[in-house]
Amino acid sequence: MGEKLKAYQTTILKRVECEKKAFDIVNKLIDETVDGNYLIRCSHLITREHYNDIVEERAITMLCGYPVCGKTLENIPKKKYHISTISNKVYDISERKNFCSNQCLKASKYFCNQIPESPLWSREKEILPAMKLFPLELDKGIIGEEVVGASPIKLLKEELSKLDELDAKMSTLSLSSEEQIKQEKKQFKKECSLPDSSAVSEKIKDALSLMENSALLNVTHDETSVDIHKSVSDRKKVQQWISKETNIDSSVPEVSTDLCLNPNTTAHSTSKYIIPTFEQQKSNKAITEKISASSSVTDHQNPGAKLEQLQKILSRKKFILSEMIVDMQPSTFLSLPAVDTNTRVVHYQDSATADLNHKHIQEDGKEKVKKEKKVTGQLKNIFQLPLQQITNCLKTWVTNETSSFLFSSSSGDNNDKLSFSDPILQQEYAQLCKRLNDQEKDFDNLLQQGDVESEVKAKVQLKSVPDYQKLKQGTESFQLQVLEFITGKKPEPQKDLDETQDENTNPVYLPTIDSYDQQQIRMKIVLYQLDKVMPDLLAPLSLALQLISSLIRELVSTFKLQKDTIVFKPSEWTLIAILVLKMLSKKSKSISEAFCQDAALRYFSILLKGIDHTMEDFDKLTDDILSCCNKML
Amino acid sequence: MDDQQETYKLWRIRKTVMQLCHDRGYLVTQEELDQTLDGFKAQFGDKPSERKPSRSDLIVLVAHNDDPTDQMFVFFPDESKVGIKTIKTYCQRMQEENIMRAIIVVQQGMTPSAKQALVEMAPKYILEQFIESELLINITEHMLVPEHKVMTPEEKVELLNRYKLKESQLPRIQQGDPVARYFGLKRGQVVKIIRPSETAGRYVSYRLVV
Repeated sequence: MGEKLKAYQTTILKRVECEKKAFDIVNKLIDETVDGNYLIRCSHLITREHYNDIVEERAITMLCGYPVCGKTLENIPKKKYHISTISNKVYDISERKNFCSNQCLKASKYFCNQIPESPLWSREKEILPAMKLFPLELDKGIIGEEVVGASPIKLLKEELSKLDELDAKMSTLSLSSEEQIKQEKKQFKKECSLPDSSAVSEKIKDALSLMENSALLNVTHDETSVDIHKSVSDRKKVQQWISKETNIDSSVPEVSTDLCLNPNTTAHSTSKYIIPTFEQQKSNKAITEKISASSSVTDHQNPGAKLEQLQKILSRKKFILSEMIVDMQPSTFLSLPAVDTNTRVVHYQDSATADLNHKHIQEDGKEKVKKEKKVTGQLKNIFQLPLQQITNCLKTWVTNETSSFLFSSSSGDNNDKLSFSDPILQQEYAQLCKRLNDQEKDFDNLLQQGDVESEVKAKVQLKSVPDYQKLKQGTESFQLQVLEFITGKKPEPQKDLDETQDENTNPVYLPTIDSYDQQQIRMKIVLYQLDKVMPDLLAPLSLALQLISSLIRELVSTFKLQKDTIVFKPSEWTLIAILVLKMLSKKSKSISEAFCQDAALRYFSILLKGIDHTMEDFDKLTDDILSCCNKML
Repeated sequence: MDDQQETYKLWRIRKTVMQLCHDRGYLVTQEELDQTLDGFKAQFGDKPSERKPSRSDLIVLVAHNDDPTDQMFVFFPDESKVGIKTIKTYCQRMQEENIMRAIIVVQQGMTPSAKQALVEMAPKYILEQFIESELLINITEHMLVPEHKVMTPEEKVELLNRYKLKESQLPRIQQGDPVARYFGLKRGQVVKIIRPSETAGRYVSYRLVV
């Protein structure tokens, strides 16, 4: 017993001793700045809580929380959160306030995470892992804990994967211009928001909106070569302008903390971005070369000129970037990082140049990728115009119902089954709904009054008997729908039979019972997209949306939509909307007249000029589509 | 506006501190206990943002009624979060002036190591810490807090004899109980709690601090 007690005593004393030692170390580290080796040796004798305590205590005495760093804290912001305008994110900087720089914060966290979690007294028997200090010189650090939103790296990665997918689809589809624009914009935004002081930011916003406008205007054009020139020149303008701004900014001595924090994040995301794209870029290159080899001489010259232009811009960009970095050096918050990132970028460039013996690879990796993408996209565009694809898709959409719907007024034969506007059908539908409601009520009553069960039952039967014929038809058509849903196609021949039957008897319209009906969902998607772009087109046509929308609804309801034929980019939806309107103009006089108006002609000629099309092309395509669906008849 | 609020807060805190000292048996003049807000402003100033007064100006030193050598400091550190450094300076001052007790009124809190430092000095120097917000009102004046009376060692012995009790047979109160902290109770002390009762008029209970 006595021995046991003694053993207990010794262990407890040991534990107390451990705690005491840890406390001493904490005391020491609070006061002094130590070298890395000492810190590593200490790490086995303290817990994470102790370390956090050290950080806090050091910060209270205005020392940088990282025990290796001996700088004093200055200009501690009062705010709790930092809102980054670049990445649209909110960072919790309460931790960051304890450190002199982002690097120190990151290094400190890195170190803290290596401290073993086991209690101090149990560490004797453990094999302690070798500790490492964070290589301060190489990294840019972190701002703080992210509060809302996803990380920029993630976003970029997502975008990359998207681009990869698109590349895979390249054989049939041309490269998404939208994606490019987005990406460009993003990068551009980043670059723009570097000088984040409030005075400049507003002007930059203007510039950005200008960019956006140009992008919007050129969405439809973008796939062709003309637009690339345009957007390039636009960008150039803005860039020059911004470079001016930054020059002004450099004369302002006080650099805000935001400003210092920003380049770090930018560089961070950029470098991350570079690495994964490397391979992709290679494959792209191969494609580019193949295509350029097969393309005509004129095509070849075009990209060459563009490349030069791009190169100019990029070198300019680089210049601006380096200027900005030089600007920021005197700031208190930023010491090593800016220079480091800069050298890193340069280093990367060097290796890239050595790696790829390509003419236009003297820029940043990301620029390279972008440009090559552009070139490939552009060359592809020459082969396959977006309009052509859209027409192909529309051809798959149209069914014999479409043509019968479009030409119904001329033939006078209204066999449009799904018409919403038919008053008789609507009435019947309302009746059906009412009846179903009544039945439900009756059923409820039935449940409530078990006594009068038989009576009510009789009632229900009485009520439903006259509609038996209709209900039977209803079930039949529902079965058809189920069949349709399962096969994913419309069983046409059967339907035709049904239709002839329907024409003989009363047409039955059943609303979709299944809210997850694929066709319904696709239809909704298409209608939603069309509704989005329609208002813009209807304005010059001076048509009211109310008039058109029901027609569009009916027309779309006749389409046979497939899952892979309803995915378009916003710019392409505009084209589709035009085509749809053109198709509707076959049915409705008012629309075809609207197309002949002066304003409409001018608007569409401007709109279509960018993609080297005229209204006549659209007429032709519409005829093409309609002839296609006529053939089906 | 901000200054006004801050001044008001400081006045409340200091007033509660004075009452606390009085209740613990330290000598506090009636004037100090009854100090109005205007009086406070006149004495210390009304611009805390410009360090008029700064928190450290509010420092209090009181002597015990019975034993004038038993003195107590009340410190008001300027830092919002008190670290081990501040504690050390206070300790030095206490050593210099040979004062054994002190209360530290912190704005937001203490770091864990600072708290540990307080514990380490415990047997010789007794340092208690309060957060400012705890002292904005005097909890013993609250209607739901019954009257507590700290018993002297003699009274305690008498109580145990009278009822033929052992210490451990008394009901208990924790050392961290807000009222126990208010009175700065130590383990082993006994408080007499007097509640009003509808049936008995007065209900007295005794609690041992653990």
